[in-house]
Amino acid sequence: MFTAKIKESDQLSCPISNQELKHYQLQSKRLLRSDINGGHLTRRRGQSLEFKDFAHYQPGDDIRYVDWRASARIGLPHEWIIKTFVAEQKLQILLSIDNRESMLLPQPTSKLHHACWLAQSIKTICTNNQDIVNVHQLFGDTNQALTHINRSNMAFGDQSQQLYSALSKTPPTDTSVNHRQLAQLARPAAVWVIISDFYFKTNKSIDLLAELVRKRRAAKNWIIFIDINSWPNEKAQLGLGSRRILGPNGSPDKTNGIYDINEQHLLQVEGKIQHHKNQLFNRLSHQTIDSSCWLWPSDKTFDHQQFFRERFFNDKVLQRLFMRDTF
Amino acid sequence: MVVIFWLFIVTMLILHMLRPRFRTQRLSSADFFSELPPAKNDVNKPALKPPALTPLFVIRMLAAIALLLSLFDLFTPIQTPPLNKQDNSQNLLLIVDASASMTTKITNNQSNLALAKQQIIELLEQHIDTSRPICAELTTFNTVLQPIGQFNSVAPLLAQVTQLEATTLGTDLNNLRRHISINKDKTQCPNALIVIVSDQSAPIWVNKMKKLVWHDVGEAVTNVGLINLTTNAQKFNANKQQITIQSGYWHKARPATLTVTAPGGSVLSQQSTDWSNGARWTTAFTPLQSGLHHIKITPGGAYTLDDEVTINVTINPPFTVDWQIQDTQLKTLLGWQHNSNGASLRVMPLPHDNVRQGKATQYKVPHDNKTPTLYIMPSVTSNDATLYPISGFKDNDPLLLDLNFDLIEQITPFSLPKSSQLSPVLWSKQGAWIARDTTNNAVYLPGLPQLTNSSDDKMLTVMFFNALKTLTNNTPLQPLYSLTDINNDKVTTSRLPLHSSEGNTAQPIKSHGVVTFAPQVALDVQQSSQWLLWFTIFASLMAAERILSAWGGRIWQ
Repeated sequence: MFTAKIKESDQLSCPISNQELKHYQLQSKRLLRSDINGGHLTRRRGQSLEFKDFAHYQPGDDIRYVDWRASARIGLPHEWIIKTFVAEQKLQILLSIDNRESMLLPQPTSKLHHACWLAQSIKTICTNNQDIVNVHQLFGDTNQALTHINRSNMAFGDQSQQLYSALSKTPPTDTSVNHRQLAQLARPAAVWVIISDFYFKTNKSIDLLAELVRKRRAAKNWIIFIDINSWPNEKAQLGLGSRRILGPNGSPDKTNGIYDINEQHLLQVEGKIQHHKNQLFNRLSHQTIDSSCWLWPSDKTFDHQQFFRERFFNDKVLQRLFMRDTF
Repeated sequence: MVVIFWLFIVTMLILHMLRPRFRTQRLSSADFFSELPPAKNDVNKPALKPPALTPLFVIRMLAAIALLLSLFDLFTPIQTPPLNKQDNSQNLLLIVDASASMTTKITNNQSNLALAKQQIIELLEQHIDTSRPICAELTTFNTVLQPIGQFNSVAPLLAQVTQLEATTLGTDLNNLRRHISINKDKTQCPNALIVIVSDQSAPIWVNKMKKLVWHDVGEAVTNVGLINLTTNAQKFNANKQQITIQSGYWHKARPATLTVTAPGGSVLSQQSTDWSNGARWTTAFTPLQSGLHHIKITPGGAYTLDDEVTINVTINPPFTVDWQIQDTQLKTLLGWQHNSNGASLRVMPLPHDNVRQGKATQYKVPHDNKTPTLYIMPSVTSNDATLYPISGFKDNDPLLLDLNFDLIEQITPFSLPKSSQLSPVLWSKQGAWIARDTTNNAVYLPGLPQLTNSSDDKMLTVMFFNALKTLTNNTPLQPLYSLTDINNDKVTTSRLPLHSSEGNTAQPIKSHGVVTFAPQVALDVQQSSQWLLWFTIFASLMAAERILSAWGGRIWQ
């Protein structure tokens, strides 16, 4: 089994600082959500201990909320002023990270690095909002959630490296979806963010994941696919000519992995990758799912951190996560 | 060792230059390549590419170098200058040829010795470091070695060299070799560099000697000279004496004239050399009178000591004999003149009766003590033919030289009765067959050769001449000339070439060795202790290489 060997220096820290994330959060909140997309709203009117505003009494309002003193002071005769409160419901974000061996490539900066950086950035924003973040290992039959990040361990430090270490040490030996832990963790109206390269070798994995997505969608979860697509970069690194191609599990076939790569072959491989992805997306075509593809540049030595920053700050799907709600 | 080193390095390089023709790439999408057609077969064959300067490659090369340095130090003893100050000094044993051949004139009419002096001075000024201590010995050689002195600075050494003069002696290289072999470690300047300056070619044996430089200052020049004189003068020969002269040339043939001057200055013979048969020419002359004859060949060429010789020729008086025997055949054959008064030799018979009666010694007519007398005993008749074996003989007596005793017994000669005046030389029970009368300078022989080819006659001939030489031994011929030797090394009027190569001015020029004192300083051979250090470095590097290769991470693989 292939095991990625990464030095500590290669475990790059998250490229986005907390300050930048706060700024990003403010910028996002300036945007008004235009529609209610499912039952994921975070703030609702209702009874709470937190005062929000005064309002004129309307028929049907609970008379217990009439502020008699305020009504006598500022209200007109026969006009009552009532207090309004905010009933705050905490947002739960489930981050399901694919840590299969394909995510450990390419080296030295792998797709799993990007996934961990993304998890760290989302976690930071959510902890600022006092939301709940759970990190979940997408594949593999494991009995425990990988990481539970909430207010109790809301250390504002960069935890992406620890997360990377935990995920890279134990890549799943099977491709079954870790649905049991997900069922235990997920609350109604939670946001489920799936971070993966969506490389599937068998239809069974596709079926299992599609079935799980349908279940969560039925539970009113907002589902977001983040597709980390490294193919352009790997294609540039591969080049043309005689190559011995090793994958996560060594040589892929009996030819010892040696091919004479040409342009046609690259197109053929690219089509095959897309075909497998389409198999999943086609099965979920009737579901309302947000997806974002993080397509790596076709540059052999691009700046991963710079790429991540640009991609994160301009991702419309993520921005919607942190928009100001409408009431 | 150097060859092994380069073989090892080249092998290492080739091993690191062997690369697959394909490049290995690790991709997350590798599973999607499985349906592509496989590459051509020749892709699997390795190709030579420039070696990648990976850290492991550098470590391996360093380890290889350390290992080879260790082996080199282990098997190559090093030479280090000793701490002893005396050994660090410039020790020199200078041996200069002072034989007669060094007087040979070469270019610019300069002698070999003058050139040798000049080159010695140049050598010393060039190679001697005056800031360092010097220990030098100067020796000359010809037939023997003559130590001059020991010097601790250059100036007095050079002064002594300039005063060297050639002797008239020859050169004995065997003696020189013997002296060097025996005394090289016994000199006052131990472990000295031996520098021999000569006009002789370097002999073969110098190649086997360490720290020896043979500097040949000789130069091929033309020389004509006398080589040898021989004479046919014999005491018993009445013929005229003749002196044969051999002369020759070296390098290039040059016409010359050979002149023989008789006593009184008159020219006895004058001939032009004839080189048509080669580089040697032989002629002869007959001296007409006794006295100093001067032989000279002109022009003589570069070497002058073989150009002329003066010999003292003695014209011996003719050999005469008082022959009183009837058979004169032998006398005639030898060309002897009869002289009854004052002859060189008297030959007379012994009468039968005298012998029989034991009165042989009394038979003295006409015997005198001055003339050597040879008594011939009477022939043996058949009636007297009684065989007697030899009873005894006088060992090592010249009268018995080369005699066959068996033949004498067959002759059964007359024998002389024992007598107090006779000293028997060969005898039987009957009496003496050969006897000597030392008082009267007489010899008694049993017979006279009859000039036949019989064995008996040949034996009697030998016996006759043995007696003749014995009787005339008291009057040796004077030598024609005398040679110079170690006790008489000055040229006299009778000097002749001393050795076979004297006068040979065309010897091939052959030197041996180079004068240098830096590497010649006495060195101590030591076993280096560095090999253990190098081996430790090698072992450490290999251990590091193995550890890094196994657990060092991706960069070390």
